[in-house]
Amino acid sequence: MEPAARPSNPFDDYIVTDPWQAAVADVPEIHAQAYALCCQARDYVQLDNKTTSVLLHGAIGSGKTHLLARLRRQWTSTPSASFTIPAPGILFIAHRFAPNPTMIWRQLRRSVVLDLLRPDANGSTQLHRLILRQLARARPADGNLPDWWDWMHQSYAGPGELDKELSDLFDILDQECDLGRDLCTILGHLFLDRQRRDARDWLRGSPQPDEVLTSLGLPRANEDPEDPEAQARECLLALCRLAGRDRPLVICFDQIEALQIHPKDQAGLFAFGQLISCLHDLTNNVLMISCVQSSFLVQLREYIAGQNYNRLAKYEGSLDLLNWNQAARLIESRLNNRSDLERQRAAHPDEPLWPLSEPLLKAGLGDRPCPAREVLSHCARLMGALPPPSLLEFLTGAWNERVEQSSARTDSDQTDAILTEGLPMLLHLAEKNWKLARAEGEKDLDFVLEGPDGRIGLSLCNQPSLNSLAARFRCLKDRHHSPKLHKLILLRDPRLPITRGARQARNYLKELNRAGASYMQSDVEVIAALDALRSLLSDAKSGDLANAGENVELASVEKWLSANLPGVLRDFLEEILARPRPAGQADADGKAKEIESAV
Amino acid sequence: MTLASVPTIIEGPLADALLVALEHANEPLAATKLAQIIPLPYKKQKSRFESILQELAAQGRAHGFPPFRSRQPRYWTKDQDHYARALILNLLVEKGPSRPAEVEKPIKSRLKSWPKDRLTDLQKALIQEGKIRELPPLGKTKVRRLSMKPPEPREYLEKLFANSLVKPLAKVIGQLHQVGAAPEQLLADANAVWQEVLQKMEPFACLKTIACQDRRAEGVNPLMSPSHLGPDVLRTSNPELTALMQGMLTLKPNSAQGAMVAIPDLRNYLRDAFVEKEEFDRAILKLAETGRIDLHRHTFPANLDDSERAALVKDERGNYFIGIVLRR
Repeated sequence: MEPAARPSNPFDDYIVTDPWQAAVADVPEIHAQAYALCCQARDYVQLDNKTTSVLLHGAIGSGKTHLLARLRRQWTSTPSASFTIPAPGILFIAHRFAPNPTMIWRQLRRSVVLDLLRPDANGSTQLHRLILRQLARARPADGNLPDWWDWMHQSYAGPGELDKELSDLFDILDQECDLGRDLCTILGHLFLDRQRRDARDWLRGSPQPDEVLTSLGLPRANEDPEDPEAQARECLLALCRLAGRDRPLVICFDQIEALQIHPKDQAGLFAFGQLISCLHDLTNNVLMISCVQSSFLVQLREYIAGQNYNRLAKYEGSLDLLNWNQAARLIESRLNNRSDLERQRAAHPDEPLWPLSEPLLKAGLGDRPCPAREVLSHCARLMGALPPPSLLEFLTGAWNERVEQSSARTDSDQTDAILTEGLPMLLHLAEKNWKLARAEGEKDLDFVLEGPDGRIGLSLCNQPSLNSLAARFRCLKDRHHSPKLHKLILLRDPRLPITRGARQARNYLKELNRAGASYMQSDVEVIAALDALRSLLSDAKSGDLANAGENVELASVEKWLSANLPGVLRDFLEEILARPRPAGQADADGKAKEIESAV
Repeated sequence: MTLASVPTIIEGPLADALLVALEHANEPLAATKLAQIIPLPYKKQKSRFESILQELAAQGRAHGFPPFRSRQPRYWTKDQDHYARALILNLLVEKGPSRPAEVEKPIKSRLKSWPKDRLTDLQKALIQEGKIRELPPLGKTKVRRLSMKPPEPREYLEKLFANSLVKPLAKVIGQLHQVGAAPEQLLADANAVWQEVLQKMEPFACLKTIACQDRRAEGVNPLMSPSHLGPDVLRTSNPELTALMQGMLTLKPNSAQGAMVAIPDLRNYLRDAFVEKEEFDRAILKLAETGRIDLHRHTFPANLDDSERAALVKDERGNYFIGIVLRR
């Protein structure tokens, strides 16, 4: 196999969407002040054993995620170094927010686990190294950790001996860090690489069927499940405690703007403030780095008021707009990074930016400092990049690509997140007469919609565990006599069948149906389209949607989506908002049959 | 008779793959390290890496480096000077101002045979290029530290206070307090003496003149600015610009470290100094032209209502600016 061909234009690559992305040329002088501020905050966490925070503002395209990538590269130690005791390891997490304040802890838990289990070049993960260190500390052991672990394998080679020893060590960790029995069991599985997929899914908060829970050695789902947000928060706090006092857990918050569904929406930022406050007050080893657009400066302060804002911005800085000298350094560094240009460039020692013409560059960039992305996209054009496609072409391409990506997913563990984030956006785009209302005291309803035909309650019933599903149906059945709702809709992913054996769930559902509740199994196509909708709008809000370097404004995306909304989404919304049928009468158009077949 | 060795021509996908991997690396790599990052099909040929790398070095397509941590030689497509530069700049970014001996340390361990005079030359070159600078000696030492940033006045002043002033001052204040001087009186007098002393100093004299000349900015006393602000930040012959910068620092002291000030807040704070909206807008845009500040655009001004938009600064191209950052 030939090595992957490098892009022909050195400036093609001007968006970093993920701090874990492989490095492009980095110029340390750019954003040096913001970087130093983060180092200062990190030292504070390490030396003072207290959680702190950094708030960085930056223009769209100024390189917020690029800076996070630099922090990730510089701060995460090499595996060889972090395997010895004492190790200077830092745990690094990058989280992009989704417009879903009701699931804010669950989303964060998912990102934390994803990054802790991300394999490095050696196949090792941050979590594995962390557990190894903590087990060695609990025992205690000294020296090279992999060697110690090999020795443990040899010393406890008898059947069940190693498991017993590990169980004792996890017990010590549990007592020290208050991890809880379930988390210790899952950490044990992951450490020994047993039932990896199920253990990973549990750790990141995906609901599990009862048989999987049993095989993992965990209790079956309770009929009265705990609030999943509270569960996610407790799991995260336990992982922070596991990291240890002297080992900072760096959590970088990106795309905070996406928490708003519309420009005046306060719920998402309020929830973010609460999350920051909780992490600040209940941990002592977390460094929270938040990157936000400059445009968000006033709103952020207004909606996360008082002490929560202070907890968010213990250290505050900004990302550079590049003046000519900085722009020139960036361009030179990109060009120097290209070996295929080296010989030709060597023939022009007095023109550090060759093959670009300095006067042309200066004329194009103007006399005001500008974001790095603007510099790079201008250079890309000068180097012969094709002119950008029309906005229509670009958005159509971006939409199709996202729908395709989402359709390729076969699992249903993101369905709740997609529906919770996508539905309000869809409503905001396509139905101005209907508004989301607060579902106060209605813990089994995920949405309440208010409009000309009354109030509609939506309940997401995507529990893989049929026990938990039955519990939800039972609660809904008991509350459905409430006069406040004109219609109740139960939404379930079609990839989650209700098996014949789930008698209780089927009976409750039949009763709900008789009482007038509608059972909807939204097509996978609808879920994929909603997923594309939420990601496109979130990227536009956060300034991460660029057409050949030109930022695509949120208003343009909304306008395009309103005009080109796929039929499946329109039908889906229409079905939700359709007038309710009277109680006692089965669903029209064969709906009753569908329910019969589903149950 | 010994035959002169003729370098073998190394071509082919493995050599290319090694070169690409080295090109992407942030530092020189040993063969074992390369084996971890190179695409899977080439990993199996690990035993050939060392000989190919040696040949590439002989041909000048790669550069050899002494071992570091392991016993294996390392290779990179960049030369030793480039590596030394990167080591110096990375250290200064990471650690901040550092003594020459501290700068030398990573180079000594990673570039063992590199001559010391080359390091001295390189430091001079970096200073001449403006990439790094020498800072004045801090405290009682005569060593001039190297840094990528200008000196932090607060660091120097704190050291001076700690070394020379705090002890005798505390002694005198304690004695006066013991014989009945009121704490309020002591504090007021200490402040007054301090202000008088500062006003007589050369760098601050011009600020006093500016503040007196500009009646609109009377409410803002440049000498009450946060002490960590370098005098060069405020040095300007234009009283409006001085008032703006002073306003920023008073409103948000950490703006001296790069925190962004919201333009609506600054406009509100300086409403007596700049009565007309246009007057304030012009002053901000003029300050931006001096290169002392960065103005950050609002990306979605259409989403704002009229009053929110009016609180921003608008330029002749129709851009709306929301935030202002002091450049250092």
